[in-house]
Amino acid sequence: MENSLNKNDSEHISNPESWVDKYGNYLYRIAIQRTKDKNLAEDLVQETFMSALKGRHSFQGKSSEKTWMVSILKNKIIDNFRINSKYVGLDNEMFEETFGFFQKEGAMKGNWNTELAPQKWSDSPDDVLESNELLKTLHMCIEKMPKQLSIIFTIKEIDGLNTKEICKEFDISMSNLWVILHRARLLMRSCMEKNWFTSTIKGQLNE
Amino acid sequence: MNKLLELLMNNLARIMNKFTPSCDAITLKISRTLDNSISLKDRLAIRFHVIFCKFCRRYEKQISGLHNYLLRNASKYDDITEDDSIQLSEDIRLKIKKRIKEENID
Repeated sequence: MENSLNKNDSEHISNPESWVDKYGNYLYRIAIQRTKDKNLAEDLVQETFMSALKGRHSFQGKSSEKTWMVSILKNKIIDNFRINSKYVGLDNEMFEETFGFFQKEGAMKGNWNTELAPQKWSDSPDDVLESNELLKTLHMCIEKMPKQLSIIFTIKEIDGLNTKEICKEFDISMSNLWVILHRARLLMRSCMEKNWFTSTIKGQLNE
Repeated sequence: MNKLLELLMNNLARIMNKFTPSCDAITLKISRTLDNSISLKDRLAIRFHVIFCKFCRRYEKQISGLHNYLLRNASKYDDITEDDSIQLSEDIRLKIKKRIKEENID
C-alpha cells in the first residue's frame, strides 16, 4: 500500500523503473560524445537516474521528462570535468591532423597550403534551412575530431558553455582554448567541404 | 612603371605576408571572433588581410556560416544520431534497473 502511494506521488513522472528502457541509450550517447569514455559515461547515466529519482518530487513538468534528465546529465558531465580537471590533457598529438593546413617553411610560411585551402562552396550553410542531413554530417565531422577537440568543441558550440566557464572547468588557459577551438574549426570546415559542400568548380581561380 | 606594377601584383601574396600576420594567425583571430570580442587592432588585421587573401575570405564566411548553423540547430543536435552501435550493455542496464528498484522503495 505504502509502496504504491510512493510510486504515484508525482503525477508528472513516469514509473522510474521504465526510465532505463526509455532514456538509457539516449543519455548514454550524449555522455559518450562528451567524455569519449565508456565506463565514465555509464556511471554518469546511472548517477543521472539516481539524481532524478531523488529529485522527482520537485519536477514540475514544465519541460519534458527527457529534457529534464538531459539537463541533469549535462550538469554531471560538467561537474566531472571539474573534478578530473586534468581530463583534457594538452598535447601536440591533438593538433597533428591540422599541421598540414599551413605551409611550414619558406617565404610563404604560415600561409595556406593550396591543396588544403578553402574552396568555393556550391552553397552556404545559411541557405540550408531545415536539413537534418547537414546536421548529421556536422555531427559526424565533430565526432571524427581528436578526442579533446571534439569534447571541448561540443561543450562550447552545442551545450553553450562560454569560454570563461570552459577554461575554469577544464583548467586550461584562454589562449590554449582559442587554439583548441581554432584547430577544431579547421578540421570541421575541411571535413564539411569534403562531405557536404563539395565544390563543383574546384580549382577555378576567379572569384 | 607598368613592369614594376606587374611585378608587385605577381608578388602581392609575398608582400602581404611581410606586412600582415600569416593565414595561420589570421584564421585563429577569425575563430576568436566567434567566441569572444576581439580588439580593434585584430579586427582591422583581419579586414585588411581578407582584401587580398581569398582563402581566408572564404574561411571566414564558411566557419561563421557553420557556427551560426550549429547555434540555430543546437537543440536538435542530441536527437540527430540514431547510432545503434552506441548502446548501454545489458549488464549495465540490469544493474541500473536494480538500483532504481531498490531506491524507489524506500
